[in-house]
Amino acid sequence: MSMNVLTGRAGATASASRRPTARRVRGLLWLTLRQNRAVLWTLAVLVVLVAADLLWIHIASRHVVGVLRRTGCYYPETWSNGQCWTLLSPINRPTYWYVSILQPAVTALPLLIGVFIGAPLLAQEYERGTIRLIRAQSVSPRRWLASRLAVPGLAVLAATGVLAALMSWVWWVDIVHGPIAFDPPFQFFTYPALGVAPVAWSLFALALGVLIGQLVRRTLPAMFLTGALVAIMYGLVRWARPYFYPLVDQVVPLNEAHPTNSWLIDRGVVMADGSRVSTDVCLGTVRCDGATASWIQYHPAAHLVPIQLVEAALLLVLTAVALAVVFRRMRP
Amino acid sequence: MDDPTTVPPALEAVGLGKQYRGDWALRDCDFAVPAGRICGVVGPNGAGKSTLLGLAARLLAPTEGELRVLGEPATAPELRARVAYVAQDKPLYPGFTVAETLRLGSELNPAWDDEMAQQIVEQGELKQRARIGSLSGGQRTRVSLALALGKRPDLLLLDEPMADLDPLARHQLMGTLMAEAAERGTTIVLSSHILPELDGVIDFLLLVQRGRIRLAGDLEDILDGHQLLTGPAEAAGADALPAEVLVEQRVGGRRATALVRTGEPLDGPWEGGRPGLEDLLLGYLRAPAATGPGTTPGEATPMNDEVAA
Repeated sequence: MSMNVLTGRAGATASASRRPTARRVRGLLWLTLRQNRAVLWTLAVLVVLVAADLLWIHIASRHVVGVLRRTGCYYPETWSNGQCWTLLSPINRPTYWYVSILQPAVTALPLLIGVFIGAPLLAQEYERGTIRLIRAQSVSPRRWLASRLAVPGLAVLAATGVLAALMSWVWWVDIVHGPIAFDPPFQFFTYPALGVAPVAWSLFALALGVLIGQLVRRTLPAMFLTGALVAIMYGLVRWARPYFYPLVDQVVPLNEAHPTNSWLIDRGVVMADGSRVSTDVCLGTVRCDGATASWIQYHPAAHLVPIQLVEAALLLVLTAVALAVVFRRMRP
Repeated sequence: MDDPTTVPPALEAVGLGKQYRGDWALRDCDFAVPAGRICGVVGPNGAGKSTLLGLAARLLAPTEGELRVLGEPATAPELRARVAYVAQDKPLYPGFTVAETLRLGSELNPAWDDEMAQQIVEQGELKQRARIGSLSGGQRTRVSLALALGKRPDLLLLDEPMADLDPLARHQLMGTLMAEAAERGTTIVLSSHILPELDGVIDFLLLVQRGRIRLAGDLEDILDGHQLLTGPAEAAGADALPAEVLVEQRVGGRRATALVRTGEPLDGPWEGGRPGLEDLLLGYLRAPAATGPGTTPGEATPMNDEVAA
């Protein structure tokens, strides 16, 4: 380098050679991109890995289905045939990957985003005192905060958006319409990995983590607290989820099952006098012996989208509230 | 030097106070630091020096009273670009390199002087690609000062800036600061409890003790207005010197010394002399109950609670 040049010129040449290449991104954006370098790389690698995995799942199951169709082994009736069973078995691996690995991983993603991206975001600035370094610059702290949140916020939005779209696509094309996998949308690890749920939950967890970090101002406690609160919030929302959209309430012939892929909330029997008794009460008693029909309360698979939209709207309102509090608490 | 009638004071406090969870870190402060001065804020640990600088740097909001900075209320957004501040713990992003830290300064400050900042860093032989986290305390201080000076501020607030520098670096950086102050008329307010580091540097003094301003004024005027007396031990006593001028007296062996707040000769077997900066400060610091000219009569009682710095 220019170390052996005269000191006066060293600075000039150094800055001259640095400027044209490094100055494409400027101001606060440069700082926030630099500060979020690790986060951006992690999210990018994550998206690439999961997308590659999903692509493999899609291609592998397509291939198996193609083989089954060509050999007349597509329909379940034929699977008792040993040859068909052998041709069918390769589909277990992609299906296993999707249902047992990717779905739980995507379900856990919002929690991880809240804990590892949201909570340290401001907690670390306070813990290391760098918030005072920022306050000593010419830029307004609220503008800095806006930029500090926008970059990881948009990155999380983009990454979870891509993941959710790919997860939903593979679920729709290869899993729920595939020949063997049984994966109703309202299950514990299925619902949060579909549609807008990963995006809304990730943004909410991120904002909650930022708020907790700002309040606690210590990185590790903020991470633990954020993790606990996201989990509690998930429990509460899951408990309230059946009521986000009106239930279908039907009287059906005695002991008829609820429709495939639907979410059964409650069921029971209708007595001769027209009164309803829940199945829980019937068990082990003779109270329900004179039942004439069954009743079921459930969400059909078609309710997945409206329920997810209501849930996402609720979460986005909470996200906005958390962000408003964060901004208000940042002294200008 | 600028005409003091047209240039507003760099710092002007009226009844300024700051309370932390019930304890007053600073209270009833009235003082003005004229622009263009190099002002030393001195006092023992926990006296309120850092609080004072934090208020001036708008890191803290005052609980009571008012602080004006460069003629503006301390909250004025225009001050962001005009005031630079280096906190006592020299916060920097540990994962950034030296070059990236200086780039932070250039990206976030419109009046950034890259040459100035680079020069300070190069003077310390810091590698541009060295991570801040791998630097020593003194090297981080140097980078923090480069960041503050590169901003080209009108007011530079430095909280214990030299504490972890070796004598050579201290000398170099003090020289840089003085040159900057002389060249651009920058007002520098620096706190310290290391007195030798201020001698010959500051020309204005704020003595902070237990959250109060004990002395505020031009250093030469203050020194001229005090005498360090020495005399035989018998001369010292409860009423040997007028109480209204006596700051502190002590007897060591057969000699007694006393610091008095008057430039006029006093009666008695005393030999008077102009005190040095250190004599003056030690005299005041040893006698916490006494009042100084910077205080109003009502606040003679010192605070009992230990205050946070």
